[in-house]
Amino acid sequence: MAKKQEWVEDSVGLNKRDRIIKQIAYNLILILVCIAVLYPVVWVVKMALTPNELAGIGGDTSQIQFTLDNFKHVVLNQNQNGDYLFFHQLANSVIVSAITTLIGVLLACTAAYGFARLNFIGRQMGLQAFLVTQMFPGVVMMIPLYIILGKLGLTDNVLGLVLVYSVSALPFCVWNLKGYFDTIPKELEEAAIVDGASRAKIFVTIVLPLARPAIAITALFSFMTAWNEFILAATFMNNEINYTLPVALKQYVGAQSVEYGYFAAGAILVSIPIMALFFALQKHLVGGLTAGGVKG
Amino acid sequence: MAGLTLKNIIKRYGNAEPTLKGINLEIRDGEFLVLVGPSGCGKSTLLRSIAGLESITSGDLYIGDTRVNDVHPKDRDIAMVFQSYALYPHMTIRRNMAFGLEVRKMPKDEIDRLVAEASQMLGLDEYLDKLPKMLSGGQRQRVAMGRAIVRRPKVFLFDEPLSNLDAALRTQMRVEIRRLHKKLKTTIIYVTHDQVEAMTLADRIAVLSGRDKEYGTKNAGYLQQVGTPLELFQRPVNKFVAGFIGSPSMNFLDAKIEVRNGKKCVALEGWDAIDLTQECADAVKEGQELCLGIRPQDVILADASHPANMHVKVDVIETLGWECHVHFKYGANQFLAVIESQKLADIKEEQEVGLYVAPEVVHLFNHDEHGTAIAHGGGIKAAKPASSEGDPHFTALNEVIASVNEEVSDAK
Ligand SMILES: Nc1ncnc2c1ncn2[C@@H]1O[C@H](COP(=O)(O)OP(=O)(O)OP(=O)(O)O)[C@@H](O)[C@H]1O
Ligand SMILES: [Mg+2]
Repeated sequence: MAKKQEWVEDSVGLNKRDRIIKQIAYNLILILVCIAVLYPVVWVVKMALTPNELAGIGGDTSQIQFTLDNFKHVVLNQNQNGDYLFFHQLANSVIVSAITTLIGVLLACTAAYGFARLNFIGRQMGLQAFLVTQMFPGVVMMIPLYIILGKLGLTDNVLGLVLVYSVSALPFCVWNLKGYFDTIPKELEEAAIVDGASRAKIFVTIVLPLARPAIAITALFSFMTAWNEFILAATFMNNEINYTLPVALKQYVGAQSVEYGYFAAGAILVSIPIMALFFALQKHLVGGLTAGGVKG
Repeated sequence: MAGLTLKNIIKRYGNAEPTLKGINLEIRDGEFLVLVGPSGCGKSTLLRSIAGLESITSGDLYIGDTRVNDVHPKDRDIAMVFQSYALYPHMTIRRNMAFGLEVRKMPKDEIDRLVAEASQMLGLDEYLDKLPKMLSGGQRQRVAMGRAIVRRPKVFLFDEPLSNLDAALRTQMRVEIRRLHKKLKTTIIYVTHDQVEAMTLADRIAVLSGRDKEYGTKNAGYLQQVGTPLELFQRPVNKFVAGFIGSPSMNFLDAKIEVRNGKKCVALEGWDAIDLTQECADAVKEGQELCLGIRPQDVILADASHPANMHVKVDVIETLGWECHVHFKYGANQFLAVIESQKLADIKEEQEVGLYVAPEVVHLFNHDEHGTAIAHGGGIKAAKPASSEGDPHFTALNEVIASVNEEVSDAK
């Protein structure tokens, strides 16, 4: 065993000291990168825990005080009618994002499978059309979308947002999933056909389980698109009670003053669900699901 | 179980030249038919057409007495073993085998019974709860076969199932397939590149032709000959089959029929000439130009009782152990012979030697694009009576067949 190790070292051509130096260098770089990435996060957490009056950029840093008042303020914020706004807005965000994800994944899976496996007129055109829509940022389509939603009576309505978000996330989802379906060997499906399975059965029992990582990514992407979107939501929603969280968050950054403490606390609260979702989906983000199926 | 009938099957992909240009073939119930042909000639295409994974451009395909052109693959009652195994990677071995039965709504205990039976037959018992990726190539291959067996289909289709295995495993699997056929007696169509597989497994071999260097795709996409392994070996209908069956490939030399000492013979370089058997002599005219075919194994070094009728120069000697591949220069041509190593003891490269080619091992072909056979010397059996030590490759072939048969009956 020891012999073998030696040989490996030799083959790399480095002696022990060089390797240690290399290790230290790597770790130093990694630590620096970590600091650079984590510093803003730590800062936001600190701001969120500092009383709002002291949290600002010009705030007094000489005394360190911890408090949960900022969170309390953000969560228990009420409007004139006594509605707890945060909970309404949280519900809006969750509903919009969840339905967008559901629609996005359902439609994208089926559409992508069609594009990947079936031969029909307009297949290539359709795929390209999807790509073209991605060239225009949502903002460009804001006014037409506003008019359309107005005609449908869906302004100031979460359903309107769901519709807009699903439509704008779909092209990416379809492309992403199609790309993955293309990597699933066709023979697997042919074997299933010969085994006597119908298209639908094959889709559900063979293709979807194998596409799990791509579906997880697609779901995460859809959810995040809807969860983080600001401009369209701010434009289409007029009543505070219909806001989604990013729009609500913006309120703390006013023209005259910035409520840093509240903003930071809100930002953390908004991020938690995304992190939770990410951890929940993480176990599906594995490679090599098709390993062993076909010899390659 | 059922036989198959293929009537003038044509398959064209898009607007290209058809890949299959009219396949006519009758496969008997319970027959083991091996399909061979050069790479890209359409073997997989034919198999996939029979399975229903590709639609047939024209022609009729019957399984038993039913025309199945428009029958969905799942209703054709065939099972296919893919060249790439195509196991469902996310299912255990057990579910892989059971899938086809589950889809067909077979009762659970019946499924369990069939899977257990098949896994026992293939020695897969201990792997039933593993995933395909945990198995070796040979084991996966057996799972693929198990998946086909449990279905008890009318017809098995095998597409080069052993092509990715190493030599030892291949030999072992070959025997297993043979055993399987003996036991199940199901019609099998089997595609392979391997000469030994084709020879040992087949009841009959069908040879499909592909692109040709000289004539392009003109002759491609037709069945050239269908027959028992020895028929194809001894009496190939044309140059293509003659060159394709047998390894190493048959030598072809341009030659002319002459009459010497009042007898017709094939004249070659210099004064070399090979006598003809009655059958050959009757089929040719004096002065006819033709193509002479000689298998490398049919050539022997000249000695006192076998006077030289070809004078060649040794080019390269490749030693394979018991035998050698000896490449000769013959005029402007190359000529290959397989000769026992011990007989080559005092022969060196660049040396001139005499070879003896018996009239019985001669194959004569037309000089045209089809290279149709004119006549055959009568075959290796006739060339050397069974009592003598025997022709090396014929014995080798027989040995393989015998050993397979032996192992099959041992196992029973
Ligand atoms: N889906 C397809 N579309 C167009 N052409 C195809 C398609 N599949 C096969 N071909 C063509 O048909 C011909 C025969 O292919 P096929 O796979 O049947 O050959 P094969 O005899 O099985 O070859 P191999 O021994 O290499 O497996 C090839 O020239 C190939 O280019
Ligand atoms: Mg093939």
